[in-house]
Amino acid sequence: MIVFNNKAFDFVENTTIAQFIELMKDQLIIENTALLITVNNQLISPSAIYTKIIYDGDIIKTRYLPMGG
Amino acid sequence: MWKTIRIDSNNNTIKSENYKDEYLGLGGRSLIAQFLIDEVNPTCDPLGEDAKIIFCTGMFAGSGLVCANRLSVGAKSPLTNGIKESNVGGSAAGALAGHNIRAIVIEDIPEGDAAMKIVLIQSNGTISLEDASPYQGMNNYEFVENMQNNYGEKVSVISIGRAGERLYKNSSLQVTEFGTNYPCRAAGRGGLGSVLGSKRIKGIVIQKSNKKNTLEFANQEQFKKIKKELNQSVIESSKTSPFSLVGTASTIDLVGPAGIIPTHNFTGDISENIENLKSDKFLEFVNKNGKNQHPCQAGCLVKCSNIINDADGNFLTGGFEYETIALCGPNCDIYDYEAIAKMDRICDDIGLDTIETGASVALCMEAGLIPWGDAQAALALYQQISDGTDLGNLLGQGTGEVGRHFNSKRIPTCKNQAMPGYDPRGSLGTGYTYATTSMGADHTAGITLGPDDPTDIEGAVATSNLMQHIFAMADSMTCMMAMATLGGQLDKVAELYNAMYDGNLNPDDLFAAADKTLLLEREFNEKAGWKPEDNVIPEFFRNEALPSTGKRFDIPVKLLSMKVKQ
Repeated sequence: MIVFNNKAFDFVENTTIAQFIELMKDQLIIENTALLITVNNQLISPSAIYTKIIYDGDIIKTRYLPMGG
Repeated sequence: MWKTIRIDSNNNTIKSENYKDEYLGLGGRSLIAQFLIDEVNPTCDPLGEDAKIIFCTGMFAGSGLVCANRLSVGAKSPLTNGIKESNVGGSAAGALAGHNIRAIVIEDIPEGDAAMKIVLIQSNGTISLEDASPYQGMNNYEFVENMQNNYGEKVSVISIGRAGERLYKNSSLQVTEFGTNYPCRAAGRGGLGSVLGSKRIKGIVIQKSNKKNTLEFANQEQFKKIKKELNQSVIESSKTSPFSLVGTASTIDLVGPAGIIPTHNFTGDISENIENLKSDKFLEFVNKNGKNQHPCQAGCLVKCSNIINDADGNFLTGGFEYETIALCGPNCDIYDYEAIAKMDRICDDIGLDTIETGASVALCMEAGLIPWGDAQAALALYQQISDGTDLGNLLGQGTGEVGRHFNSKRIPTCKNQAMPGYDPRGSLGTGYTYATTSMGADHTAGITLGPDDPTDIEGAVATSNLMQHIFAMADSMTCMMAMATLGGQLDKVAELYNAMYDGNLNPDDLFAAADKTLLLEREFNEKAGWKPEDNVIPEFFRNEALPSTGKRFDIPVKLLSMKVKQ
């Protein structure tokens, strides 16, 4: 099981964070914007999501990329 | 294909140079950092003969990628005495890209009291230095009108007003906006207008190239395909983005009630009048005579800008942004959009950084020079800056100097640059950025603001470090508003880069490039004399609690003075 933004989802083996996020976007769980992502309270670089694999039990949280002007 | 234009302002020579191979793939902020490290002695006088000012486009300028026509201006800052990159939308970067110009480097200073010049880039590519003496002493709107009369209605203009001519340390460079062609877009921070003024250059005037776009691509079809996908993603996300639907003023809805917006010279006292500035009031104000959702540059799909007209329907200002509203408004206890818009106009006209100016005026109020919240008295101070009175000249030196003049104990600066619109006690990570970035207190160096902004020190520092990298990346390729979407698709951005530059980058490489930019900037500043112990947040943020949360800025001094973990 993966806990994504406080909701439980099925764990999928051999899935990168980016692929999982894409699944969440496809299911309209989140919007199509850039995100800051933490996995088990560890901040993940937006460049690392393409190589880091999710593990069963991971707790993933996202927030919008902070921008201002 | 790309070229660098080098102008010697002392000998009045202009050279067109082939673009260096090793600079290929750099753009915007990354190119500024490389140029300054390679060519400028960090210990130089920012307004002296060894200083240079560099204008360059982002790495995807002219390509049709969303928001890619962004102009970066870089130099050693007379305000911070460190490296400075300030970027701006408007029409200039697109016009330069049309001429295949990636960078303009202006060096040396004229001897004596030389007449000012204009750099004129004509449609046929001819570049010349023209006499600007008839325009000396003019502010930006009048100057641009003259350039349009002389060289065509649709010219793009980068210029300085009286503030830059007088070498004010809070002077901006103004750029004409796409669509309106008024000089309402500002490369505001760091006093870079004075660097151009020191070289006796009044402005750069660019006619649209009469040649067909000749950008080269390693794989044009692939580039077009990815570009289309990325642009479409920004169109989609803009449908719900408050920045698109309202503008950057929408930030007030979050930071106003939370007490993060600076009020009363960063005391953080929340006024019920903040309601006057929320999104609904902003839209009411803007759409009364003007409009929001205006693109400031060709190819902008975010459209966070706006057009503000006066009661008679005449253009008053544009690019009326959150930072201006926060510092010229609530930070001075002013909660009236009409008055703040007038302040924005006069700052753009004189060529002043609205953040620095608003923070300075608040210090005048704190010193009792004018009453708190008196918009008319504030506007009179702005006029004094334009007129160059003694007080006006003081205000032109920036917030640090004004605060020291009045013996203020509450000067909201880092590295002598005024803090933008986020109180560091209300956004710890943003405060960490203010203290540690090579840019001085600067919202474009990496804010951490938002509903889940970390309140613990470890989280705040980690988020700041990450955001400093993301903003360095954004400032090299596109507007940060577009990065709010593109930042989630760095795999495609890397593919786009490869399709243009025949590279083999992956997302990690993009991040590594941002890291290199930050390291170069830090290297420049270390050579300029910056020391780790200079990384401080003013003491009053540690001693006074933010009224809305009761929190003080509590990141230990030692942690600020440590080198940023890359």
